[in-house]
Amino acid sequence: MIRLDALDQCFHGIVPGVLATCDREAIPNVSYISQVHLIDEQHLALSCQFFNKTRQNLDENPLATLELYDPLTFEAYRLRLRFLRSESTGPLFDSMAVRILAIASHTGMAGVFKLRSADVFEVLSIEQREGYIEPPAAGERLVRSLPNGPLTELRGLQLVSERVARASDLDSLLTGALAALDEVFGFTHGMIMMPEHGKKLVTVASHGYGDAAIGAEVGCGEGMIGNVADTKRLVRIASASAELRYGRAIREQYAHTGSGVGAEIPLPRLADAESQMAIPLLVQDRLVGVLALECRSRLNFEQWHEAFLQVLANQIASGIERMAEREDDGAMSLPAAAPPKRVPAARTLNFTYYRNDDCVFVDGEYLIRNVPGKILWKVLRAYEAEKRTDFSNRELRLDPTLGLPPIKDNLESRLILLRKRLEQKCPDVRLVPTRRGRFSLCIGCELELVERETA
Amino acid sequence: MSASYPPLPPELVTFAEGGVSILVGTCNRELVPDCVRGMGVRVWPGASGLTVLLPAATAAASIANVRDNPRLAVTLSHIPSHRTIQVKGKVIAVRDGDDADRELATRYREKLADDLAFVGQPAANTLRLGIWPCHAVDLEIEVVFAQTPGPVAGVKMPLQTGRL
Repeated sequence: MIRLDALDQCFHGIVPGVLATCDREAIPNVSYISQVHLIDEQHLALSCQFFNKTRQNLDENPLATLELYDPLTFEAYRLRLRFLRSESTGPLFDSMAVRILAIASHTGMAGVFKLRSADVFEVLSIEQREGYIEPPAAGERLVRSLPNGPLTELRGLQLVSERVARASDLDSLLTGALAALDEVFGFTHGMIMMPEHGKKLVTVASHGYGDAAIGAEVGCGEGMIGNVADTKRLVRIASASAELRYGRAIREQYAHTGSGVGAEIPLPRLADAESQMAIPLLVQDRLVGVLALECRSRLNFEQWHEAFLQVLANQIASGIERMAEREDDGAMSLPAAAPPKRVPAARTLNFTYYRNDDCVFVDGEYLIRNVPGKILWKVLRAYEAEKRTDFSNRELRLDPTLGLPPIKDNLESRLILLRKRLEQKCPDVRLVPTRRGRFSLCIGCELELVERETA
Repeated sequence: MSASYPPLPPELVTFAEGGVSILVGTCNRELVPDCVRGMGVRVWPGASGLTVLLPAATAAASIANVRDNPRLAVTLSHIPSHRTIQVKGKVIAVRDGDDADRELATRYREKLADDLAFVGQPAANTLRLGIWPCHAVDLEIEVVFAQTPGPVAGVKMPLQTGRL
């Protein structure tokens, strides 16, 4: 018998599978299956989103036939199945539900379109459907764009591990890890988002998106990344456009029945992404960030990537934690950076701080908000009043007006975000790390500081 | 036996013959189901039944099933939009495909290749789907269900809203 795990590519949902069932009166039913989940060598699970005829038939007669398609070659496989049970709680259900939830959330149907059960089947037999597709003509050859094998995985693990271990600060750790993932795995677009007050995630490092992604936010529970943060479970979508189209078809049906569905959240980032993966960065069970990857190629995130990326994600998470623990350790300071040179003032920049939402605009354009906004305002005010340019993380932590949490405050990631936004929007004002836990404010222009209650 | 379902309305005839994805379900009397891809649909004049083409290479089990138990389910789905119906009824004849059927299957495969290309399946693959020789299965329509994923999936048609 063909091994079930040899059909891994058929489980990605790129070409939906087909399931035939029948009731006790021998009336057949045939329908598409949106999600097939490999459990082990003899078992798989199918998603059940609606109470439908398939579900009724399985309760009456456990036998089913599933046809799956290889998305690269379009070869077909017929699997004879026996329905065993439905699971509506537990790890299997959670793992399948989060993917449905991500699609539902993207299409504004969170809470409306959801997984009802993971239906578990025993696989009785597998056969390739001979003659389903004719062999290629002489000279014609299928090009299977599969990623490289285990050597690449191990090399990737080694390379990313080295980057994480050698990183001297959080910024180089995050950017180095993303660059390594591109170099070895070909994940051209990636970002690392970190939690802000447990309500949202903010992008602190990105690769492949230019400057646009830094500072981008997503609410916890919103879209694929927000759901990964909420559930702390990896989500992989191998055919993003197809799954979103499926979700939108359902959304349209709900809209016609008058059910309330929310506004659709636009899919951010790479507009034509076909493969997406989001991995929670966990230290023990605590979320320290989310690694989000995407690319234009389908099938770029193979099952084996999941296992290796989980390992890498653990290393990145540990690295983040390590940086947070040592960033205040001034005694083990890094070599001091050269003091920033003062650039002759050329122009005046207007910074406006809005107290109601801790938001800072520069020359009328949004710059940053929340804790990083308050930090910027604090250091700019200190510079204006005292011409101070040297600051420490410790004094920021001790300042109650900044609203940093007492433990695990993500201060370093907030400073990275602030530093990068300044580089993008007003390079005349820079935050330059000088040694561990300290930084200098480097001003190359005249400042005008304005404080307002609201916009 | 006369069909219990009113004739397919014109918009569903157009839909069924429009190159949509065709999934065919059968089962024998021991309740072992089977599925196979259809390679063309022709709605009868009067729209009380249809003929679905099944490639001989992949349809052996399905043909054996309908000879044992003449019940058939045909799911028709527009791939880009997921708009879907399922037709169920009784098989009244199974015959070998003729020249007209072969021509229909060839045209159908080309249209299907267009739809699958829309969702990223290379036409070079789809155009190699086996279509010949084929069986032509005549089905008397007894009931039609809406099958578009969502709250009305599985509801008998015509729907109150008149939509799939």
